[in-house]
Order: sequence, then structure tokens, then C-alpha cells
Amino acid sequence: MKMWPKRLPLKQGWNSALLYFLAIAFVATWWLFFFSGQVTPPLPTPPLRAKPVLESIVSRQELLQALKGDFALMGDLVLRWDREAQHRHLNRLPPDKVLRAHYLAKTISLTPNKTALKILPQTYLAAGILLTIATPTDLVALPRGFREQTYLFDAAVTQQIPLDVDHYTTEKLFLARPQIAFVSSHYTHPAALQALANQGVPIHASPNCENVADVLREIEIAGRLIGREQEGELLQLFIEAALLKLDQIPKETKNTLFLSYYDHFYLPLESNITGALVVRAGLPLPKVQTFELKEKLIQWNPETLVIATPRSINLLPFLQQDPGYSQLQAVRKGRVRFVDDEVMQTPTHSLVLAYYDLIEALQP
Amino acid sequence: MKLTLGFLFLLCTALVLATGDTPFSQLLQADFAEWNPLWHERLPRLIVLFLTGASLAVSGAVLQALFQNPLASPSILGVTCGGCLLVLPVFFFQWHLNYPFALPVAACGGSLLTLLLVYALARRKGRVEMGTLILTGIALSTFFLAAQGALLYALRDKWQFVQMLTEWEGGTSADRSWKHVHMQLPLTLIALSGVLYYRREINLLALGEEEALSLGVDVPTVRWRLFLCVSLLTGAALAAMGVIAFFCMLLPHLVRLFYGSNAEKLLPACMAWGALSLATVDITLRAFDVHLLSIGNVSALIGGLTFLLLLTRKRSFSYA
Amino acid sequence: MLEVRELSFPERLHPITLTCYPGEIHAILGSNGSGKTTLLKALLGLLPVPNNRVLWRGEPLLQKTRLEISRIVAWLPQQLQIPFEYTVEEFVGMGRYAHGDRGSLEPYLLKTDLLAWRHRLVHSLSQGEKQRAYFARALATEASVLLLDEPQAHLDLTRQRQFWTLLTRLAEEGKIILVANHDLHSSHRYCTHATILERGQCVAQGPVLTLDIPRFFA
Repeated sequence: MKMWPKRLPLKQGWNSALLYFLAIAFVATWWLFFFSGQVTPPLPTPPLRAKPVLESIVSRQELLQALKGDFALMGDLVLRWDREAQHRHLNRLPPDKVLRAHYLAKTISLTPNKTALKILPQTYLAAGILLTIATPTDLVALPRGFREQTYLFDAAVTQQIPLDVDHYTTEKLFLARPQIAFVSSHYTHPAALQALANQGVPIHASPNCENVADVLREIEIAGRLIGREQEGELLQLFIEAALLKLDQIPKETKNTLFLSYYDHFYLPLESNITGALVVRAGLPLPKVQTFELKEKLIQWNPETLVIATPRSINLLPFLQQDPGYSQLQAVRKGRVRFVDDEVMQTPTHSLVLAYYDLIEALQP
Repeated sequence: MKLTLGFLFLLCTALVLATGDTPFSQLLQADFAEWNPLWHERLPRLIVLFLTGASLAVSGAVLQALFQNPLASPSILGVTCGGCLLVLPVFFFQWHLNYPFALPVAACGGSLLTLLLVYALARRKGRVEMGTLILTGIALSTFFLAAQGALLYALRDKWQFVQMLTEWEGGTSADRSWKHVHMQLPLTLIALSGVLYYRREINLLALGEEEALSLGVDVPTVRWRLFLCVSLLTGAALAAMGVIAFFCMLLPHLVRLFYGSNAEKLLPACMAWGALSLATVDITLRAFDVHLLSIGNVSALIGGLTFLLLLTRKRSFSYA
Repeated sequence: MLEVRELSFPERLHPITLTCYPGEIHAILGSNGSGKTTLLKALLGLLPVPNNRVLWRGEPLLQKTRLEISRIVAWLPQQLQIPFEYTVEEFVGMGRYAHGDRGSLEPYLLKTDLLAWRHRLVHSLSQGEKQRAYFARALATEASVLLLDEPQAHLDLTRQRQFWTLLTRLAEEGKIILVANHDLHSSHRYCTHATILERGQCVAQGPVLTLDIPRFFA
């Protein structure tokens, strides 16, 4: 029979303490040894490119200003871009559209304040469009979380709208007596929809916007429904013109890959606006689902990387110290550009800004 | 049986190391100074899968013995929930980026604190009765789940964070690296050694606390240390792979059907079969290129179905 | 020598004093709820009692480590429930834990007539056979004091006789045996001393021959 080793009963107190101490010391030493000299975390640092390259061709500030509802500026920019394209013999917006834009800009500035409908936007798409083509005070509420997205509309604008759309504000919203509501046919809460129907509020439900054409269509519908057809039409024309202008800017897309980053890397999907913009810019959109993205990236080995990160944080030091990513050509040559994820994920007409950032990142 | 086990281990190892996008021949040629998926990604994943499977199965077996209940598991005590709750702020404030060991510390810390809380709440007149312990554990895990739900509801606008957390709670073996191995390995080594050291005591404790006391087991100390080991095992597995459900309850139960209840055979068998099962689930998911479900989802589904099947079989529950 | 001095437990047991010498078979008699099991558990330290109430060879028993206590006192509980499947051999082997070895289990299996069933699962045995397995385990501890709680409840008459013969032999070898019992006849016949409990209080104590046991249970 095997002899079981005779174990002496451990004395409580010291022996126990020693045992626990040894165990903790073992773990601490292990971690200290293997985790020291670890990769530094992605720190929030300012974007890599100090001086924007595109500013001389198209001013982001002007785009922003226009998108916020400066219709006069929209007309000016459309004209200006048309002249520039004419000068350089590039593709232009059809002349009738340019004229139309000019006419609309003039008419809108001349027309006195129109009767305002009280509007309830439940989606970011609708809120964004309506803040531009209607007066902010026409809106009775903003979708929850919209105020935090200040890249387009800052507090000065959103403060004018006191309410937020939420389950808890149903009664307050009812008291505000909206005359039309813009909801999503995909994700608006069915109970909220029912409540609106019960209150007798006309509803427009928009599907998910998967590309630029969908957004333009929604702008047109919104404008028509609230009696601001001219503003809606001008905004559409402006967006078309801006995208066309940005299309014409020479960019470097050879062997370039676009990725998103939040805790780890994601490939963009083709069924949303970000994907549509990526394709429009001439970048590949790999239709592949993979378990090990890192391995795939190393296989593809792109020359340039454009990464959408929160607040455009600079991941380059992190990538350079990682044993896998440091192999990539893009990382070795330092050809990694960062764009603001919040802008890139935009579901509204500010996709112009997203496209701008993307083209900016693709400059050689 | 040992030969079969050995063969299965080799098979699993080969399959895990060989599957992936990069062809195997290319891997062997590559220079080791560069990033080699075989060394940097597949081998760590293999180790993490084996360790997690073994940890979860063993912790289930230990708790089932301690509670004299063949269906006990760390989730009943609220250990997994407590660990998850403490990991939430680590992810939110992104401490795990600055301090990689923050994750296992938080997970084990959460598990341990839950254990302490359950223990303190369940003590009556200097004694802990197992019935009270289980009820307290259920109450605590309900509370923790509610707290976690509240936090997630408050943060529901941060959809990327919620998405990341969902992926983590589903359990994942993707993009594992040596970092995960180092998070898990030292804790698992200590805990598994502890559990194996006390395997004779575990047998005695399975008879009941009073009988174990009468037979000479220093029940308070041994129980406390076994609880510590279980927290380390579940916390480390949580940190390395996220939440893998049902594994810790069901696997020891199944292994017991074939190996008997003697801990001296049961525990090593749980380690071996736990490791193999988890690796097999992972290999299968990758072989069929399943992206809709995570490994945690699948183990929960399989676990749930098997549990229902066992309920219909009388033999499993014909204990004294 | 086992000495019990003013051992009590709130609401279940009034202070009891008891002295047992090697070779004695001491019956603890009483109806259900009279405190027999409480007394045995308190003796073993399974209930929180002051350390100095139980003395073994002059020293406080309950101040020793659990390992030392289990080498001195063995316990056969009243409720026989095993939620897991152990073989008879594994089960009896658990009695050797206090000695840290596996030991040879044949003698104990022989004494309880379980040798042929050493590889059977305990939970598949009948209640009587389970009791014998428990007894074999208690024997395996080689303890000097045996505390038996209703040990013959599930045994048939033949087995009962064998059991008492075994107990008598063990007593002759120098063990102290305390048997919680409610069978008056066997207690009268085989036990040397008796303590009669009623609602937690000791109503009579002493050598069996000096006590008129049936009077208390009329």
C-alpha cells in the first residue's frame, strides 16, 4: 500500500501567513516579470498631421458652417466649386443644378420666416437634417445622446431645445404638441410609436440609411413634410456638390486599408454610410469575416492604414511596439492616419465632413 | 483510458495549431523574430483554452463536493457575477490598457469579495450551513446581475462599450496572446495545486461538514482555502476568456458518471476532459466558420440541452 | 479516561457530568428529542461548547486539533446520507485520513463482514449494510472512544447480536464506547453503564445493574 505522506497540521497564524505571502509573491513576481516593458497604451494625443493639407482646396470650417444651415454660404460654395472645376476642366455639377442652387440660396434669404411646424425627431438622422433646414426652436426635443455629438451642432444650438426624447418624457412631449414626428422603422421602440399614433401625431418612418442616396432622399422627404422644400433641395444640391468636389481631389489609395478601432480592430461593413464612403473613396471593403483579424492584416500587409479611432487618438506607438502589427509595411513606414470615429460613424448629412476627413487622411 | 486521453490531447493540439489563415508550411519557414501566428497567437490560444476548460471543470467539482450537491457551481455562489461586476469599471476606464494585470486582479478580486460577502452573510452563530450559503449566493448573484444591468442601462448610449462588453461576456477565444496566458497561468497553477493538495479532504467534505470534522479535517481552514482556489480559478478564466457558462456545473457532473466521485480520480479527470471539451468546442466553431455565436453561447446552449437530457435520465439522480 | 464536566448546550442539553473508563460500554438512553445526539455531537466538538468541558486523560479534548481529536474519538452519525458515489473501500478508507495513510482495510471490512462488497457503491447498499460500512469506517480510525448514534436501527436480529458481540470485544480491548440507543433490552443486556436523558436533562446515571431502566420508560 502506498504511504500517504504524513502531513503535519499547519500551525495557524504564521504558517498560514507565510503560505499566502509566498503565493502572492509568486504571482506578483510572475506578473512583474512578464508585464514590465509592456506595450504602452494608446494615449489620447493630437492627430498626427499638424497642418491640414486640404484646407487650401476646401475649408473644413466653411463646410461645417454651411452644413449647420448657412444657406447663403451653401450657394456661394456651389458656385465657387463650379468655377474652379470649369477652370481646371474637371467634372462639374450639371449647370442647371448650379443655377438652381444659386436661385434657392437667394430665395431662401429673401423669404421671411415661414410658419413653423412643431417637429419631434426621434432619430439622429432626422435631428441633424431638421436642425439644418428648420429653425432649432421648431424642434420640441432631441434624441437622447445627440447633444454630446458636438462635432456638428454645439451646445449653443442644442441648448435652445430643452427636452430629450426618452421613455420618461412622453407626457412632456405630448404637452409640447408636436405636429409631426420622424422615427425609424427599424429601431424606434414600438411602444413609443404606438403612443405617438394614439396622440394623433403624423409619423414619418425612415429605414436605415445605407448610402448617400438614402440620406439625400430623407432630406428631400423631410423638407417636403415640414414645408421647407427649398431648404431641403439646396442642402441636397450642396451635398452632391461637396462630394463631387472632394472626389476630384487627388488621393493615394494604392494598397490602403480602412479600419475602425475600439479596444480591437474592426473591418467596416458595406451596409452603412461609413462603408459607402470608404468605397466611394476607392478603398477596398473586404467582404470577409474572420476570427483572427491580426493574422489577416499581416497577410494583406497594406502600405497605408487609415484607422477611425475615438477622438482620433494616435495608435502608432502602440502598433510599433506590438510584435505582430510592427511587421506591417504601413507601420514600419509610419504611414498610418487617424480619423475621428465619431464623425466617421455619422448617420446624418454630416457625412460630408466624414468624407472630408477620409480624403484628408488619404493625402500623400 | 490514459492512452485515449493522450491521443485526444495531441489531436486537439494539432488541430488548434494548424487551423488558421496562414498556411502551415509558411509558418514553419517564417523567421521567429517576426510575428509568427503559430507562436504568438495559436499556441497562447491553445494554452488558454486548456487552462480555462480545466479551471472551470475543477472549480465546479470542488464546489459540488463542498455543498454536497451535484449541481452546484461558481455561478450559484455569485462568484462569476461578482467578478464580472468588478471587471466593468476596468473596461470602462480602460485600466487594462495601462495595467494588463488589472483584469485578472479585478476578476479574482470580485470573485473573492463575493465569496467573503456570501460567507459573512451566511454565518449563523459561528457556523456556516450550506443551505443558507446557497441561498445567500443566489441572492447576491441576483443583486450583482441587477447592478450590472443598471450600469449597462445607464451606459447604453455608449454603444461601442456595450458591444465590447457583450462580446466579452459571450466568451471569446479570438485574438488571444501571451498576455492572456500570463494573466491566467500563475493564478491557475496555484489554485490547481491547492485543489489537488486537498483532494483527500475534498472527498471527506463531500460527506458533510460534520462528518468531515469528525474524521479529522480542519474544515474551516480547508474550506476557506478551497474557496480561495475556486475564486482564483474562476477569476483567472474570466480574465482570460470571458464568461463561459454551464461548463463548471455540467462537466464535472458528466465526468462523475464515468469516473465516480472519488476526488483523487475525479479532479484530474475533470482537468483533462474540461480542457479537451473546451478546445473541441473552439475547434468546431472555427472549422464551421461560425461567427454568429461565441464559444460562451455555444457552451451554454450545449450545457443547457445536456442538463435537460440528464434530468430525464433517472440514473443520474438516484443518490441516497 | 473520558470525563465530561457540566457539558451543556443552550435549549437542548442541561449540564451533564459523566465519566467513562476503558472497557465500558455506556448507553445514552432517552426518547426522541431528549438530547442524545446533542450530547454526542457536543462531546465531539461539533457544537460550540466551552473547550474545558470534555477531558481526555486529564487534558481538555476540544483544545486539540481536529486531527488529534479524530484519532481519539470516532463518530457514527444517525442520518446516513451520501450524495455521491463512493465504493465501500474508498468510504472505509476515509477513516484512515487522521493517520495520514491508506492502511490495510481488510481487518475492518472483515469485522463488519463487508469484504466481499468492497468494490460496491455505498449508496447501492441497504440501510443495514450502509450502517456496517459506517461502522467499519469508525473502526478504521482506530480511535479509543467510539460514539455511536442509534447504530442498530437498521440491523436485523442476527446482525444485532453480531454487532453487540463485536462491541463487547472492542470494549475488552480497552475502548470506551458510548451508544445512544432507545432499545432498552440490548442496553440492559450488553451495556455496562447507562445515562438516561429526558428533555435534555439527566434523570439517572450509573451502572446498568443498579438502575431500574424500564421504570423511566413506562
